[in-house]
Amino acid sequence: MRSLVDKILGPHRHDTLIAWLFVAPWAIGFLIFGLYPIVMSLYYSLCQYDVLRVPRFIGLENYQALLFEDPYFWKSLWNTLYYVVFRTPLSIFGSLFLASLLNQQLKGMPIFRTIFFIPSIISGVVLSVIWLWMFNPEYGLINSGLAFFGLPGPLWLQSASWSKPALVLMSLWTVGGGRMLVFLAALQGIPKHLYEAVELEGGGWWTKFRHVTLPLISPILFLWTVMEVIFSMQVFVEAYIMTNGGPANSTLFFNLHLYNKSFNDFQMGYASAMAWLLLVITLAVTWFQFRLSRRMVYYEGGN
Amino acid sequence: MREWIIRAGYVVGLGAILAFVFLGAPKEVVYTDGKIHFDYWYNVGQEDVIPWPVIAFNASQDRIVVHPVAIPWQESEKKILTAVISGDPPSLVSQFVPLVKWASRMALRPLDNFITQDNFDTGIFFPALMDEMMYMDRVFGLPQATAAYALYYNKDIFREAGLDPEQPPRTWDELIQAAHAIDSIDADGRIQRMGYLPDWDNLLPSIMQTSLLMAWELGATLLSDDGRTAELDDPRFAKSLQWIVDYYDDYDIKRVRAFRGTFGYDTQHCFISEKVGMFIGSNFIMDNLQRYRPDLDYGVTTIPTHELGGPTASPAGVFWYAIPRNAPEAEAAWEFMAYSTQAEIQLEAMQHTKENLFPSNRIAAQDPIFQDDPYMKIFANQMNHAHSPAVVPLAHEVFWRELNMNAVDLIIDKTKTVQEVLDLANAQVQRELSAALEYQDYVLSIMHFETEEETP
Repeated sequence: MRSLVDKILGPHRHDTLIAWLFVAPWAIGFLIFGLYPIVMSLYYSLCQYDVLRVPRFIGLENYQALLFEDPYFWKSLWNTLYYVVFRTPLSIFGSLFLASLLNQQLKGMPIFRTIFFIPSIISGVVLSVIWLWMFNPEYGLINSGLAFFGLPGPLWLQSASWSKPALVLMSLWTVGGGRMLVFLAALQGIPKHLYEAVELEGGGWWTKFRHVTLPLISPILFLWTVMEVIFSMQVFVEAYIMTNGGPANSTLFFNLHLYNKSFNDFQMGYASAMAWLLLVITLAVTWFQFRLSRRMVYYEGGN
Repeated sequence: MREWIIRAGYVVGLGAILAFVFLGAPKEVVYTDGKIHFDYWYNVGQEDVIPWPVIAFNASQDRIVVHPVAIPWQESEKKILTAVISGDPPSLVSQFVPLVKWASRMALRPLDNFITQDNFDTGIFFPALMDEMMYMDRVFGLPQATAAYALYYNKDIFREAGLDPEQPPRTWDELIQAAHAIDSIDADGRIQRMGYLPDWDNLLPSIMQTSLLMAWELGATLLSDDGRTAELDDPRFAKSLQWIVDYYDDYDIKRVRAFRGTFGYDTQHCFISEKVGMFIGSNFIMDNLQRYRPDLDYGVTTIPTHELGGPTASPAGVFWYAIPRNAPEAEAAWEFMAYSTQAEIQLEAMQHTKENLFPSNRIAAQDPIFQDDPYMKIFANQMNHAHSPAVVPLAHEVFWRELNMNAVDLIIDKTKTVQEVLDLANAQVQRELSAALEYQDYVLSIMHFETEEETP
């Protein structure tokens, strides 16, 4: 025992002890408020549990019910994947496009950069309320704009077929945010002489973009794709504030279904099982992206 | 030596931080006046005032002091939940979500021993409200107040449409006729005004599903007598939902949805902004009409029936008092509850409160202030035909999500038939109910209610 303690503390006993003491507030916080809930949620996912009463162990019944009996599990998963598939490329390429525009050598560019960044600092709840009005089929800004050009506006959030596209459209509000800034930094990090080389060879803007820009920023693009997918899988606030899942459950996203199960129905066991399944799905999607990236991402420093 | 002092200093400093973090909880106040003090958590609506019964009770005797603690209604469920689990709950709470949601989770203390001991008459309450206070043949709360519902109609709009403002519709057929007379559609096909909207909308949660009212009128309860089988597939409910589908057959549903998208709260409420001519709403709407549109000429009438003179039905919106499990001053809290639900206190409270709920005490509702007011009299009468919106108490949230968020949307868009949505909804509600019952049986085999034997 004594030797084990010696081994852990090493030769600088006192310093190590002091170091551990300094780490202690964080470590205790992590163990109590981080690790313990994570471990318990795994256990509760195997139980019927509503916080107020004792948990009842039911094995894999929650997972079985989710996968085979709950139509809203699949519905919400489909809604979420729809959102991920449309939102991720649009937001990545939207930000890249904006970054390319703002990467020009023009007077007053910092002002434009600021203007495009400002919308992204608005909080999700405020944004949802603003867009609720913009999407209003009769008086909303969007349909009024469409009507100006003689186009009939859709019902947006009032329609089961337009509600998801509406939320994807709304998410593009933040194309000018942090993601765009990172892309801008990446674009500015590309050495000018590479572009000059293309010019000497007689290549146009597309060749420059395809053979210089894209390969050199591909690690950043990849990183953001992974992050955007994970982030989009957790879509919640918009649906919670704006549609509450409707109409006809067309905006019932995975996390909204999870929220309903946990904080409305108090079914913490069932909701924990959902959370663990979402983790597994997210891991699988991320793993798949890493597999794909081997052929699509260029690292200048070699592998 | 110096180094040692520095090290000791670090340790003491860290210890102090940890102690601050873990022992920093506020100390409980100790009262030395020999009186019983307890906290009462009540919901704050728009008016942040001390409830009148608390003022009256504290002044009426000198043994017990009630400390009212306002909690925002959006947070109240989570706050009560946390307080009960932590084992340090207030002695009294008031709430408006179905009581069974809390009672079935053993978060509340049964009140039967107090009722027996004081010979308290629970018959003073409207039966629909008292029914909602029961779980497993025990009483878990007392109705504090309620929302009462009736049909509002706009007399000016009736006149404009050539209808007699003193002859509001009495049956659902008459309601359709009046509604169609009121409807107004502009040259582009856009709806400007509608007579009536029969279903709830996720942007306008104050509309009650007409289908449920119609099913209640036909005698459907949608739950078996033993509470173990969901009966959403009751043909009477199917008939009522079909009525809604047929109602919308006369409209372009896309136009109706666009029209509904223009509604909002307060001044933009569909009835207050005169976009809808008739509307089933609670008595609170009268306060809002008084505040925002004192000039609006409206009437209140009984919720229509299938046949002339047939039974009407309305929802009840009970606010209740209950004592959380392990409450420190249960006996004193009970004394306050029993006091404040008496007719004279409820009537006094009405005079001292700006935004009024309807009394839960039916003797109070017999008072001239209700019976001599033609509209209040209608609300009082509707309360005798009220039903709890906790239709399937153990699967309450799922029931309403199925109905409001799915079934009605699907049938009015003609994506599914009434029978299809009812089969789907019934399966979901039953699955939830069966799971809740299994869990209940398991819990009751190892946990017990805080019963009369355990209290001194």
